[in-house]
Amino acid sequence: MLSELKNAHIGYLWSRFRDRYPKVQEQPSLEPSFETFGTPPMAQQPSFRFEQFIGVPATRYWFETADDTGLCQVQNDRIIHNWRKREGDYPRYEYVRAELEKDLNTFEEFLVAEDLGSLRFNQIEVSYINTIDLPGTDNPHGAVEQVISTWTRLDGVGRDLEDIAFRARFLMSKDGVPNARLHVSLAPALETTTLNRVVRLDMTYRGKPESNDRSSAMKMLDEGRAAIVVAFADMTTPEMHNHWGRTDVQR
Amino acid sequence: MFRDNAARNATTDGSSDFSQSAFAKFREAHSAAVQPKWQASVLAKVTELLNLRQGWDGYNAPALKHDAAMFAMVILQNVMKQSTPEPSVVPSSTGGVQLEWHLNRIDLEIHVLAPYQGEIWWTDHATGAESTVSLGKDLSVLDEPIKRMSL
Repeated sequence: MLSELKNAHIGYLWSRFRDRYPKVQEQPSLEPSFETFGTPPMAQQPSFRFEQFIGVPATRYWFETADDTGLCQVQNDRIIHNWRKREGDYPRYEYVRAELEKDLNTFEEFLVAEDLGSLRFNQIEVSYINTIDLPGTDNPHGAVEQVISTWTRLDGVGRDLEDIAFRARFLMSKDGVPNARLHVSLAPALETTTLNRVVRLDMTYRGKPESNDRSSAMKMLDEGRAAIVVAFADMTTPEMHNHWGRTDVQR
Repeated sequence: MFRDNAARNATTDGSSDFSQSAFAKFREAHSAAVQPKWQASVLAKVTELLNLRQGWDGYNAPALKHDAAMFAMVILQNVMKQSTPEPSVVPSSTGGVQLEWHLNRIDLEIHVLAPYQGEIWWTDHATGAESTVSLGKDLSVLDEPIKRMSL
């Protein structure tokens, strides 16, 4: 955590970011997410809002590109780069990764210039949020078997599946030792621009890098992305792969 | 922009003060209903400790680090069972936080210095077994003593 990074410093950071991110917004901070292992899985306990108890609320800053697709989020214990779908197609992982590297370069230069500490990475996260359209289906929210390969139809005569949601957690191991977790969730959703009914399949890979330097962090980011690509291909149906024209699954 | 304006109006319009306060009360009641008992009281204690300033021990000890406090809560979130007694929560002179249990002939102390940094120590007075390990991402060493104290 960069405890010396105060809200007042953020203007200096934005002046460095402004060419790439002309828009800025303030948002409530995200709560910490740390993966730990070796304890039995339990029913999920309600999360706690830590920041509401500690005086001045921490702020998360959104720096956005002019076309809205690029978003860099900064708070005093987290830096995130997002690509968001607007008009164009997904520019691929390599592009998004390079954008994150640019964010990190700028942020590290800012920290040095303002004498605010240095980046030490204790948690890495990669998330893919997939909104899946099922054209030709009366109710996409109940047609999960068309998306998820292991699913079978649950409805029957006079019983139509209206919608369904699930979440799954997978332990990811390296040399036999758990080092990350893959969280998968599926839920019914509405596509924000068209209001079409879609299925939302979220995949998040999170874990602690081997060491807290940047190269370890980026290495783990690549591992997380690779794990998600494989999991996505494993969990979704061949029919959907054909529908998407998917040819890039690498194992 | 619409959302921004709505938010600004909500804080300046006197009539919304009531709804804000009603919402806060609702949220409080809802949290109390769904939150495990330990979570509210440990969080209250941690919050109190976060208000300690440098030198709180009379010997220039640093203030408690937020990320140490947060990680201590994350550990508890992962190991506490419904019947696990609440730990004592004490600040350490290095800016960390210590979680302690001394019951059922078990002594267990978790010293959190930062996320994934610190030490776990426990001893079982029934068998004489003792263990000291570095705190990291693997919390399996806590499974046995927590289970014993939760019976």
